Amino acid sequence: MTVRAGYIINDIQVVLFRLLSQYVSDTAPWTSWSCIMGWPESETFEVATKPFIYVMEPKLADTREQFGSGLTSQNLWEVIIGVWDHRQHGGPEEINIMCSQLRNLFTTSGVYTKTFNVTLGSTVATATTIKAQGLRIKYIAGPRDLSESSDVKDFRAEMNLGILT
Amino acid sequence: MTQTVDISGWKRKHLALKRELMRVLPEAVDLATDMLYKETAKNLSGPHYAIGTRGPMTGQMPIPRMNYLLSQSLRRKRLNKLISAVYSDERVAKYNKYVHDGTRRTRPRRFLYDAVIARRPAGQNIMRYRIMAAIRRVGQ
Repeated sequence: MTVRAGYIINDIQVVLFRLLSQYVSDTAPWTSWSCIMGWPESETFEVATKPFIYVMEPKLADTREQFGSGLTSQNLWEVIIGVWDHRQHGGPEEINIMCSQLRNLFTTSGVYTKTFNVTLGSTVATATTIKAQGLRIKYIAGPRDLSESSDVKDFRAEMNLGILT
Repeated sequence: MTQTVDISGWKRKHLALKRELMRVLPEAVDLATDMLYKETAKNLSGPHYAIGTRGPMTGQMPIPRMNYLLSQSLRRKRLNKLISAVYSDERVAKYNKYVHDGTRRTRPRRFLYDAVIARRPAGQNIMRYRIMAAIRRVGQ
């Protein structure tokens, strides 16, 4: 089973969210953080006790067509993955570690073998991988430090993840 | 035994291509920048709303305007022959980063990022066609 063409924007976001959720539930140092899907609304800051990773909706950045044995096309999606330390103490160290871990995750082959469970529509996939879901990592760019545009003592950065489907 | 290979033709063509690219690329950069500027301006051209009222279309494009400072802050600047920038001038609208990247209380409205995403393929195509045309011209 792969991400569904008719629901691809939501499916890509869900698959990435589930992948990162798996990491924050079972892998150190990711267990020090939490993961949320979409933009953190104001109540997130009240309930979240750990620094968090947020996964935004993908945007179609490019379409590549290939002629050979029939016409095939690949879509390049770009997803903003942000990290936010809202605990109002400490410094930028935690954010730097989070960004380094994200960068390392998406630039090594481990990302293709990490298994997680995901529900897309009415189909449940257990012990699946992002490769099995039809996603390929193209690049990860950043981090872009956004602490300046946050509250005092808030630390924040965003990275751009390129995904081919 | 020695064998001599004459690459003067290749060198000549290489130099001609370099010259041709330096002639056409600044123009292509201008076109792509212009496209990006217009797309960003479009994102900043939402409906007007009064001070003290809640803005419509929270988190959506185009961004509704209260005092028009953000749309007036849009600038483009040529940095060198091949690099050009579109940006929002912080001296005009100091709050531009809060609008673009969001805060604890407001969703981000990425007027620049969304414009880049929307216009990147077209910009790349402009570059590609210009480069290919230059190669063909030199090859003739």
